[in-house]
Amino acid sequence: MSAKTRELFAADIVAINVGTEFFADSLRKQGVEVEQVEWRPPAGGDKEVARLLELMGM
Amino acid sequence: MAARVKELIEAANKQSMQRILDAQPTWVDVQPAREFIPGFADNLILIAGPTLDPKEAKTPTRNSICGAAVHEGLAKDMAQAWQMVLAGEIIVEPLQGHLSAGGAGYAVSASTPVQVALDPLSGARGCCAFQEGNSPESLRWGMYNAAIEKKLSWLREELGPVLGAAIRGSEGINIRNILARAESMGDENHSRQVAASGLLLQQLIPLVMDVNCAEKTRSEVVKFLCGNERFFLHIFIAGVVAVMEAAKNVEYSTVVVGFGGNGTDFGIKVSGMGDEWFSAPCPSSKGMLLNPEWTEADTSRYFGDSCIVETYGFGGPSAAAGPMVVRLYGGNFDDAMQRTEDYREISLGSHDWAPIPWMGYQGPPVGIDIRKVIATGIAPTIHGGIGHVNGGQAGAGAMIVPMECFVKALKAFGKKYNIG
Repeated sequence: MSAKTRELFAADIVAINVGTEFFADSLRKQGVEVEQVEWRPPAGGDKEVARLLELMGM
Repeated sequence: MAARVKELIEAANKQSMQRILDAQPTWVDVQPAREFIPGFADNLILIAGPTLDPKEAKTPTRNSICGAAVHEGLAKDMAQAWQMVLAGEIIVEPLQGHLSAGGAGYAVSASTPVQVALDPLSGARGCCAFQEGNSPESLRWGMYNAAIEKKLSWLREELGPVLGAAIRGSEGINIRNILARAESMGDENHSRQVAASGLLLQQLIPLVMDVNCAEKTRSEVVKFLCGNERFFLHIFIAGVVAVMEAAKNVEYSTVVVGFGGNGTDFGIKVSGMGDEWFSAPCPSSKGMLLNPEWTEADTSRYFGDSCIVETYGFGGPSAAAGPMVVRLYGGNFDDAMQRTEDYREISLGSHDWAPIPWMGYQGPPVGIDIRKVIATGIAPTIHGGIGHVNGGQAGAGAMIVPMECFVKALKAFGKKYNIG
């Protein structure tokens, strides 16, 4: 383990949670600082639309 | 395959955007609709929004259609007009698709005077009928009675000829120059155009003074113009139609070139998809109502094409420029700034010629890309008036365009261009 990695584990953890906030809540209850990122799958998870978006450069 | 499609879309969008960003929409004329709109049949009535089965029309839209029919002399009264519509003797079609768009529920018949705008760079033209004035009781808000007929006749017999002569006697009035200045004067230029209307009058009144007409008529025209702080809006709509006529029909372009509602459905148009509408059930606007006893149950669903200005970077995209409008539904300055930033996420460019000083002098975002709307999950918020469920204006506010419109458009786009 490098010195930099050891330094990371010794520091206070700040988590970034993407999407479902349930996981952020769980960490907050353990006293962990969490930054929540609002994210939803494109088109509500419609696979056809997601594939089209990808093919169309998104 | 994907890389090739992406290249084609990006090249097409660049072309659409160039036409939108470079356009110089200019008010050049006033003419009867039948003279400006090609093939305007005597029994044709044009309304806002996507294609509508008249049987599905709600009360305000039905009132506008029938009122226009009576005004045009196609029927002796509203009841007969409606029977003629149902029998197919009066044809109802969308304004967008006929080089035009309508403010609220204004129904246009053959003799309706329309303000004509030209984009000299592309040669594209568009039109819109007059803004009728401040009364919440008007044809455009889905009402028709003797007082409204009197106003419509005055617009046709007096105002139209005078303003037509005035504007034809000039080099035209550049709409973009007015927008550029009004953007830093508190207008977002959909629900509020106090500054823009004033700037317009500075150019228009001297022209009216030179028209050869009866002094009584001139006096009435000037009083009407000076008493109507929203008069600029419908001239602006005509200008946006011209711009979007230039930007549409670019193969592979995913840029939105049309928005409109008819009280039943709301639809969008996309440059690469021709004149096809992509529609979903029309939501209601949320905002401030004119009568404190009214509730949302008293409001109609969104009707009007004025939201086409949102496709050109004004109204919602310019919320930061007109933060007082956001107060209509309880928002604050930060909400106004956020609305503009949201549009930036889903847009392909910005109008650098219309800087918003308190936004680092950035211009409003313009050129909504259906791909970005779906990818970000940010549906555009449009501004505008709110109709009463029985006709008349109920208030003003904002509405979120249904995401379903964009998803339908994307799927149809994929099918047309054999993507995936």
